[in-house]
Amino acid sequence: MKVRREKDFLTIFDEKTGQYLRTGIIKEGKDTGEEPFMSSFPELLDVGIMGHCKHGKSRLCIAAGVECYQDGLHTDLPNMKLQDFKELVNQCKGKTYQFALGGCGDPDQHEDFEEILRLCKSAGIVPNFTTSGLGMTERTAKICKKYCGAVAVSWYRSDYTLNAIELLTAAGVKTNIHYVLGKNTVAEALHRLKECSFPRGINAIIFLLHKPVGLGSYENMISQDNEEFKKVIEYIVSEPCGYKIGFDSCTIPALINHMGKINADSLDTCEGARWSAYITPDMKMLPCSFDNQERRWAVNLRTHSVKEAWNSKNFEDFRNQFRLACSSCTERLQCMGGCPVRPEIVLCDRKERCPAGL
Amino acid sequence: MKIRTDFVTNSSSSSFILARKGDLTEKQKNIIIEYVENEMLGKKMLAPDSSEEEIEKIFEENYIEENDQEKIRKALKEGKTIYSDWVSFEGSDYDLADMFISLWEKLEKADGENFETIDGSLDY
Repeated sequence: MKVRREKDFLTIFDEKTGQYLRTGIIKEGKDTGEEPFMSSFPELLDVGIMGHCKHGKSRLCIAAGVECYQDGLHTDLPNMKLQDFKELVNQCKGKTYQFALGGCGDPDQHEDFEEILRLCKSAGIVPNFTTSGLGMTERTAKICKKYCGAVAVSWYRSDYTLNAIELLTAAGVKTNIHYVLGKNTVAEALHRLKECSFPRGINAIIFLLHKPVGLGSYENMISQDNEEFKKVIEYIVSEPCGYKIGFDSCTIPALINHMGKINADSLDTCEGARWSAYITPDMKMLPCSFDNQERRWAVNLRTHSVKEAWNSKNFEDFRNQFRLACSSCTERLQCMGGCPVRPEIVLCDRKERCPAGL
Repeated sequence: MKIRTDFVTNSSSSSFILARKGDLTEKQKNIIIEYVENEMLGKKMLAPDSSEEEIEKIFEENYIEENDQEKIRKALKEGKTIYSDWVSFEGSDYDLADMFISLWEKLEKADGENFETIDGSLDY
């Protein structure tokens, strides 16, 4: 178990289970209940080790109805170099709890995949990652078991999806399914939840909100009045499932508006530039991976350290979006206005809604 | 307070997992914080309002090296409080076992309804 003491709060992370606890602001030994705004260094780093994607280039993403936010069809950057990754590990050792490996492509197809995981583990950083499952083998699954906290397989509705889930679960890997919720997939999600037709043995299903980034179209965004989406949330909060259910924090505004039995302590709104950040294969640090195309808040890690990027004006500008949004809303502290990268995805129709800059 | 019950696998920058059963109660969470504060984060040694005399005394009594003295002074100026303690590595297996057992006992005492130590023996 790792305990990190910040100026006026504590965070605790169990590297064996992934359990994480963050106190409120502590004054005179008591938790005041007030939530801290940010950490002094990213606790979680999404490291984009992949610069190109076989899965995307072969149009399998599109065929599966998933519009890749990294534009895997066209993006053609080199993968992150092992030397760059080593540098990141050195800077984050003893500070960052977890790396979520990603980028444009399947991290398990990186030429130095095993060494990358080994480096994380030796530095006390837990590596996790998401894969399409294309190219997953028994050997890779065993490597995952040795080094990873958890692995997610994106729901591409294919033989290779099911095969990867089977290989990973058989190897004893904590295996999640990542399910992109867009207009075109929400009905299937509801049906599968009700019919319990997701594969057995998985640890959790993580629902990720479709965003109009990369190949993601505006047409496929979930709208405020999407009844099936409301039913998915209603079903999840009222019916027990045989696995855990998670959402990306981009979905928080919608969940706040449909709380049901959800434990408020388990809701954490956008963590970008507050608790986490994304690093591109060519070593630019951004508050969130969804800024990977436009790079509006990018800081170059060739000229700045991770710590300097974290304390940069660009990151502070991103944080100010949260500080200034929706000042008169009663849920302001829980939601902070939602996504600054694509405010149009925020599922909230409160009249108090006023994203920063609008 | 925020809790997350599992690892983060998603490629967007953040995630959480809903915990629908078996959450720690508020009382138990406070016990954990208290425990960590009291047992794992050292004892208060100096505060930003400590006098020069107190600082010198602590440095002398604890044989603090010059390099660390500078760091402590800097931290005090930044408004930080200094905590210190020591960990015994002799027989550390036993210390570690005691630490776990002690925390389990406290959690059970705080709320035995949802926390029970079935087999708390760590004697192999």
